[in-house]
Amino acid sequence: MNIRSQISMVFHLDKCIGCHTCSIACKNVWTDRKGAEYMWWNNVETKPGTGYPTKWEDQDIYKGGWEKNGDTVSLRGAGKLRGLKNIFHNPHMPVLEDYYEPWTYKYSDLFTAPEGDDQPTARPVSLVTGENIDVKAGPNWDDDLGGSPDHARHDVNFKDLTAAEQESLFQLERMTMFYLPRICNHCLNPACVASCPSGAIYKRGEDGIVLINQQRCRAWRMCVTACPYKKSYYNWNTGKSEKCILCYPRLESGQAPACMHSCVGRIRYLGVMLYDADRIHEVASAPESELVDAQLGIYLDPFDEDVIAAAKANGIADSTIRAAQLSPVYKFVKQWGIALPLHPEFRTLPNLFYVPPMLPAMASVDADGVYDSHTESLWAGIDRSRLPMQYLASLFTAGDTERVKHVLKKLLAVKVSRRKTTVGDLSDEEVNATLEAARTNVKEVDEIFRLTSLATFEERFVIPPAHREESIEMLEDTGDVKGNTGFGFRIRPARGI
Amino acid sequence: MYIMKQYKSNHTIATPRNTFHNAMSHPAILSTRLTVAPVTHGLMNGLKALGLAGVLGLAATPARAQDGAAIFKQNCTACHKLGARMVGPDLTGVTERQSGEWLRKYIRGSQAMIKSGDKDAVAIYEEYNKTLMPDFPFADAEMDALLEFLAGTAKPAAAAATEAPAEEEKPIVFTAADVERGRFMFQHRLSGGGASCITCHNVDAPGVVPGGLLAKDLTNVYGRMGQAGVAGILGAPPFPAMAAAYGGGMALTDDEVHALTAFLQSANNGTTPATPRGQKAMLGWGLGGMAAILLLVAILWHNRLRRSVRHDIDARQLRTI
Repeated sequence: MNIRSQISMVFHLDKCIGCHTCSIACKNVWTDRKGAEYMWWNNVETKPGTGYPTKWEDQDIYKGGWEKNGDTVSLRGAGKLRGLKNIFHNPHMPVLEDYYEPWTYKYSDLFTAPEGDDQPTARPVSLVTGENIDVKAGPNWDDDLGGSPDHARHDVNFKDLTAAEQESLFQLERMTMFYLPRICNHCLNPACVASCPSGAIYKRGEDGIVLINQQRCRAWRMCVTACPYKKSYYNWNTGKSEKCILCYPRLESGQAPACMHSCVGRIRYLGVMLYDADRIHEVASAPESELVDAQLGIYLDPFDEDVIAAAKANGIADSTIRAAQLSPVYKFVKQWGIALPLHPEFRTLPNLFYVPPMLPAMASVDADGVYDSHTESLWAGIDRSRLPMQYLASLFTAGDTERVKHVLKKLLAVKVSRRKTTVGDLSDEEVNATLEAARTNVKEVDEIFRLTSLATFEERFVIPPAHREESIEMLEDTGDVKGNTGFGFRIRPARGI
Repeated sequence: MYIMKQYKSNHTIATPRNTFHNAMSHPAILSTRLTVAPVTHGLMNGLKALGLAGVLGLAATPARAQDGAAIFKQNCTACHKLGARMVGPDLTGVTERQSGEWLRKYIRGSQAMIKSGDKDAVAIYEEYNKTLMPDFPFADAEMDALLEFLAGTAKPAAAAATEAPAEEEKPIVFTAADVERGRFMFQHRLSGGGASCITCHNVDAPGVVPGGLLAKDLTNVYGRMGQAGVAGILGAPPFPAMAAAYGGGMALTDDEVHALTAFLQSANNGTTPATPRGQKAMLGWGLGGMAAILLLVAILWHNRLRRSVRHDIDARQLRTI
């Protein structure tokens, strides 16, 4: 066992109101710079939709992530031979138009325009070229299903749905959507790290944050292609790639990342997970149907004595283990099992988990065309969810609809149980049946309810104290090289010497 | 500063350079070489000048004409001789054939005169295989001295004539070894540090790769200029570019001049090669190689993203406006 600690996150999608405050907080702190205008390390997408950059989930276009290759995995768009071939011309890279051309407005024209018959206007100008442009797209151009014939209908996750199912989604009465906020997943098996020809990207030893060394980056942009979530961006001004740094300077001083701190819906949770690094290869190469289970299995119980001992032996601080025990992420992902990774089929083992949205059908159109908002019970069961299970399964479980259903049943049980407590118009049988169907109990649903609705700042963000003074020891044993300064090998080369 | 350095570093420079500061100020003159043997530093200027004049048989001419003789020796002898045609015409008594004004103009800017269509200038140009003469922007005093010297050559022509054949009689023998050494020197950096000849010149000869096209093709230069002309130009290049390239201590040694002349003699075959060998083949290989690379690119990246993923979306939205 090779136990490491990983800062992980949970986004509760039922709570997201799509206000983009997270995106703005992030933009103001990190990407409000020349060359970074088009980057949104944090962005909020409307689903169904094509997202940002357009159709980022379609790896037939962008060739991101890993693909299963016998007993192992190999990068879809990079790797030794392919990487060498494409090193001077990376053929699957998104272009600026796939993100959007950033722009601002000539506000000064409003004040300086000469007197005329018409109101002065502030024309849009490109932030890249400074020229007047016709705005064709923005980072959330498909917000709230805007332009759905072009965006929502081209959602990559519709691939398993029949034409009729897709059509029914776009009937006015059934039309539905939810928000999907995205940041870098700080994966356990990051494709960006594996693809970098310069070795500039690394996963921090103490908390697993994936960072790009701006000194070593040589602008090959293999990471831009390799990241299946398209969360590595190329800065055209500095000639280096950049990505979400999970606000590590804030984390190291005990503050939540800017996007999480500012979240209006309080949908974001952050905490430590302990995992077994020796199993990464095995988990990443698991069959598609077992991917989610395999990934969740890699995270270890921080209360287990063996795990604690092994963690300590691996140099993980007591304070970090304590943080792992209090971690809200551990509760959502492992204890309750209601948070799922986004697109596990990319095989990068993302550390950002989503509680899927319920989107219950609150009304229906009957045979006579009458719009009826009265249903027998408030939630007619997850089978009448407005989004097909297959759609959610495509997003969160690599196609396993049963797992999505189970999560939604549990979420439904929380709501039913709380209604019984607060309103009291439901019978015990009804509540118990729901609890049983979700294989849960009153104690658990109460805990879920508390962490979902009443959690304090300290409960939502359990940030371990930064032990930067020890972080070097986790990467190398300085005792071994003491006295060998200057020359020599820490690991003898295989060819001998 | 540069001039002073020249002084110190180049002990082979003989008297006239020390006595004529005006001449020193012109780069072409600055970097030309005297073909006289190196003279020890301490030797008195007067003695040196005397010796020089003695060689040319001009001991009786006034001091000013001696200066003229030095200028002539330094700048003109690469192509001109007194009493015989060489690369350029025999200059004996030239002052009688042309006016002083014309000569001054011609020496300072012969090429401009040919371009402007001066009858005599064009005639000389045609007569001497269209060989251009470099411009020599002498100062007035130097020009006066030079013309005075040339004017003096007309009368004692007999004396000069008796002296000259004695000089020419020296038999110059080129051995096969000289040719081989010359072939090597032509293609390599010279001992003084000057660039190899092949950098700018092409010679169509066996064992020589196609050379540069920056300057004249030298395959038949020996036939055009003869031994004296070639050796003279190599020893003291009158052309500004060559003078700059082989000035400042980078002059060719006598041995190099000898070997290169031998090589150029061997290369002289009377034909006029249109283009250096291999040029057409090079063009063919270049075009073929480019086509091959483009084909490879088309195959290797046949599945590249050719346009934005948003292209269709944008196109449809623009249509519906």
